[in-house]
Amino acid sequence: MKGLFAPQSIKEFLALLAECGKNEKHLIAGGTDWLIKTRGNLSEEAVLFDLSKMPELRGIENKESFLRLGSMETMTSIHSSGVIRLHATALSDAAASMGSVQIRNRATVGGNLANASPAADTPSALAVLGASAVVFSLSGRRVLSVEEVLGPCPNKNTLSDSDIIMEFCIPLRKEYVSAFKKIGSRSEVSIARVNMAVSARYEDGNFSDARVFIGTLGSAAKRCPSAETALSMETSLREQSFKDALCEFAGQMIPGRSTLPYKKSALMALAEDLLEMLEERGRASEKSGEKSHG
Amino acid sequence: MNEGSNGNKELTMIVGVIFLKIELKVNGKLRRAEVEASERLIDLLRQKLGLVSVKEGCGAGECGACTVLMDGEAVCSCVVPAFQTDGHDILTVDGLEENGELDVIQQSFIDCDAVQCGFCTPGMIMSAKALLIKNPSPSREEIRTALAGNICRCTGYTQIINAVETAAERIGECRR
Amino acid sequence: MDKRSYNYIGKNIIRCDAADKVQGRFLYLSDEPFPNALVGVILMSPHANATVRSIDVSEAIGIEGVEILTYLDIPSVKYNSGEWFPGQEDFPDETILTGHARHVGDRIALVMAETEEKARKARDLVRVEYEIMPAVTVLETAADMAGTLHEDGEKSFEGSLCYGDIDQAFSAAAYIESDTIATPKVHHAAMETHSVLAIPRPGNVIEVRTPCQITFGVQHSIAQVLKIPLSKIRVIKANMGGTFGGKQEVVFEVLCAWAANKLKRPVFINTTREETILSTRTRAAVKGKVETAVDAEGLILGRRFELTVDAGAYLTGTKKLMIAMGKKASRLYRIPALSYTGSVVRTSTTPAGACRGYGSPQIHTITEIHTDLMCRRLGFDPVGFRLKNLLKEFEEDLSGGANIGKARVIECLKRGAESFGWEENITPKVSRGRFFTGIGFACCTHGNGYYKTKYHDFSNMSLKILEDGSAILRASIHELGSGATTALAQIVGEVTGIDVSKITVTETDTQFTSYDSGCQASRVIYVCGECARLVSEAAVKMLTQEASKLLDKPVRFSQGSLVCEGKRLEIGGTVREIMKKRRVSIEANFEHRPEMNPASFGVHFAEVTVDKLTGLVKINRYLAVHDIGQAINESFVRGQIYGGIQMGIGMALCEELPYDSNGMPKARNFDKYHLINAPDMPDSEIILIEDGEPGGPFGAKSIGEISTVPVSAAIVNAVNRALGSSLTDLPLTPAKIVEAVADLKK
Repeated sequence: MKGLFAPQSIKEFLALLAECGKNEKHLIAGGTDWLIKTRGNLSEEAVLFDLSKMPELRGIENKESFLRLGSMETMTSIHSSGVIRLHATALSDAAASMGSVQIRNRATVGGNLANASPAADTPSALAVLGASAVVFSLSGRRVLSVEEVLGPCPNKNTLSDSDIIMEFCIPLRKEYVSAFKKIGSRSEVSIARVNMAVSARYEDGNFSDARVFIGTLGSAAKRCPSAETALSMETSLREQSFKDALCEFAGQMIPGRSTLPYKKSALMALAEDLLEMLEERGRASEKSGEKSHG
Repeated sequence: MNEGSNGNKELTMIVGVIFLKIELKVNGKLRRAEVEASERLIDLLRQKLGLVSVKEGCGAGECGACTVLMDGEAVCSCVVPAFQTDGHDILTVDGLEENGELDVIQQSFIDCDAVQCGFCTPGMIMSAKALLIKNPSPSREEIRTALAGNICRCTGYTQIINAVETAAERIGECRR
Repeated sequence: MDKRSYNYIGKNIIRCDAADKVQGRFLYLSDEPFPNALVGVILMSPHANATVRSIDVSEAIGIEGVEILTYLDIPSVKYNSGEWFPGQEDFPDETILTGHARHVGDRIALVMAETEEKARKARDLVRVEYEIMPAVTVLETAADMAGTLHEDGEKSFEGSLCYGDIDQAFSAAAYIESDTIATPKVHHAAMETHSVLAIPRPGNVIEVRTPCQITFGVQHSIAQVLKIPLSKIRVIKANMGGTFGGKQEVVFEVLCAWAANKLKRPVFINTTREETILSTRTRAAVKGKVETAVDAEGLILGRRFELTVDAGAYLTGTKKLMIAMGKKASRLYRIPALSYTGSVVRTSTTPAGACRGYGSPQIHTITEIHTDLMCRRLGFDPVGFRLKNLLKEFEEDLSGGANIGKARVIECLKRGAESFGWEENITPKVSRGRFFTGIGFACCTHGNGYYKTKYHDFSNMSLKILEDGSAILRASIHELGSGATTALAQIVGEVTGIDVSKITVTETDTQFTSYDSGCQASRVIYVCGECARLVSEAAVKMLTQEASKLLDKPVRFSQGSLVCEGKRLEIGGTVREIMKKRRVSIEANFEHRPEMNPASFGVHFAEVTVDKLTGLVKINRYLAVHDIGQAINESFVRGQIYGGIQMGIGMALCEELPYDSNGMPKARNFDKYHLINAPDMPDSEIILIEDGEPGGPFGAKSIGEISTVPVSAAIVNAVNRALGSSLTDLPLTPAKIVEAVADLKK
């Protein structure tokens, strides 16, 4: 290891980044996955950046048209946030379902995306909510949709080791409801076999303008347009069409994989459960008069 | 990288290995330590500070035997980089006793026979502690969720859950 | 003696180490670095079946303070890790290190340094070139491939057991039913990983501290390989962070003792979870066919077994285990004719060995799933069928094993069925289209020691009553966390009247405690507990006699007190006077040789809800009924049962160590190897039937192992009843359940 920096601002981070040139860089958020991966084989050329001392990477704020979510916010802070539960329910679901209390206390939303695990829970929730990531690098600030960050390849994303995710912006969309659910091998503390996030506009029992993202089909979040169309169908056709679309999509994503029959079945379960959650949430928000947002 | 240009971390080099100087509070006492970059909190606690109550069961954040509280929240010390505890407050089971008296959770674990081989016990107690700090009267289901990251092979959890319930009741009685 | 008048028996005495454990002050081997010890880590094979072409330690050995011993340095003696007494003749096929790695995790070299970290770094610098050979991972073809794995020419290890006229039974049968059932390879998952410390001592003694289950067995294994007398090996049982059979066979002890002896330095071997999973022991996977001949009324006429048992890379105690499975088959139901054929094969996977129940969970899971499926196919009521065939009290074991004892399995089943609402809940329910609820149960039995088996069973203890009235029970006990030492103190306290808090029960140290067959075969409470009771009686008798001589008046012992002419004598004062005036210490010795080995029984009931889309199983209700004779400490008994249920659910639903076709383990840590955690554990109900077992202390018999035996079958039977499926390949993972549901639709 060449050095370890604990910058206190993005500006300081970028200055330090410029100094370390082509050295291998490690950006450390909660450190959990980093420690497991690098313990004992940290290269001598590595430069470490501890992101835990940067206030700009923190905070959950309602900015009227969008929610600002600092990338270093933990799963615990996210799922215990009332603002997130109200306006980004799917993300709240995802944060609550990840790992154990101990892991949720450390795992950050930025780290969960940056790590590019295909079984990660929050990326599909962020994607379904239309979240964008504010990324800084030596070439400046850029705003990428979460889908753009995820990219097309499994186990890697489109960020380089000099990119830092500062925050996420989640658009506030009135009359929208969202939900996330995963299926693992235990009811709690389990890596997802399949996970799915859905958001849609809800009115009088009908959905429209839906977004559907499925995790674990080779990458962290894949958008499924046919399932989105199915969700807008009339209620008598909706559930079956939704399931059919998901299964067909899974067949296209992981054709011939031995896990495909199980994933299809689990997707049908997720379809039922998520529809129920969405309807319940839709009815609750209509009833309360307080329209919640995606 | 030379010293001084390293953000706010002080580095020292000892026979080719870079150490970071950190300062943290452990069980109420200020402690200073020099840690390596990929050193884990559990190594700092067990090897440098002698707190061998912190057990390693998996080294991957999956079993909870190494659970300690960091600023009041349960963490697996085997997956926390030691340098990130700089300036933070760590509590291990060793720090639970007050004036020589066991914490109500410890006493409840004894009374409810929630201990068998004892290896998971310190971590289990720390997870229970974190829960009861946040939620002094949890339901059985909330206790289960709080302990979901702590694996025990001996007890089937039943007597452990009973013990946490008993501790919560005792805390409630004290407050009344 | 009226049960209700007991002072300590049946009482929830707090275990003697509880306070230390909640304070984190109960130290395990890895918590206490030994001065000047080398810390050793094992260089393990990354390949399933490979010979070492070359090993280059030069770079690693160049680091100051690093010591390396490889397979080139070892004594050539082969041993069997499951052999615990000289002359048991378990086939030896293992060496302490090896140049032919037979599973991922096999031991190639031992790398040592003054710290574990340094040893691990040095280990990374050892260069090994392997010649890779095909992995042996399929049970069915393992015997044919044996030659690639072992050079000893043994394809498999066969065993059989037969009594009655099996052909007649099958030809007279109204029905013949068979099933093929598989139970998984399971990790013990004691939370403390494996470690061992060996210290060379003056007088050419090697001291070995190990959290083990049979110190005298460890002593034997070391003596065998190092070729030194037993008297020069001192094995001390170290504090134990769980075992479940995983620390019953020797694993690293012999290697550690050899290294310490060779280097004349203390050596401490430590392992990570991954290393413990890959290189210690597992529950043996079993696969095979069970076939039952039944008459028209539902009486069992005969049963045939043809089972294949997976020993993993080395035979270990797996042949013993295979035979034990056969012996257990005749101790639950009345089976007039039985034929059991077992074949143990070696595969290039982590070696199997003892695991809680020693074959009982496998054999009873197989028969109890089969019995349920058979009843369904034949239209028999599963409760009624079993009631007809279960053994009654004091029946003989038709295979020639020990008498079954005061069997209460019928009571267990009847009371359990009533309490659980078996009749009322027998019809499966469906809710919201995809949630199927059903109930299931399973019966089981397990032993109480080795009496009337091929192995010797006895225990030798002494009880010393000290000059202040306190007492030390010098016993070769292995406290595994189950509370055995406290339970024995309760027995001593009950007999002697000495307050339990003043009684110390030692653990085993081969140099200072007397012989005992070890913590195996569910013998501790029934045999060691009875020995503790008898030695206590002997000590009391001695005390009474000596007190009579001292006072020259008749002294008797009544209800926990010494009484002389109607006056109560204080024990401590009396002992002091005896010591001073008569120069006699009150220390009695007793060797207990049991003449009985009755069966313990249990019947477990489960109600599950299966999500047919996710394949996830939720256990809604659980009831465990056990025939335990007498609980010495009810809370300990309950603790054993709850823990047994946790382990059994895992074996039924999620725990397995799978390998790919190259022999690569798919689960190396708890991220992939899932144990049941708190949210998935049901709140179980427990009913204890305590009718007093003859030959056990105050009527007590075993519970620790049997508590996990019926669990998997009860769960599987509930799932099969809920879905109408016939799942027999454990564990019932979500994918298997989903597949079964799809097949049912066809």
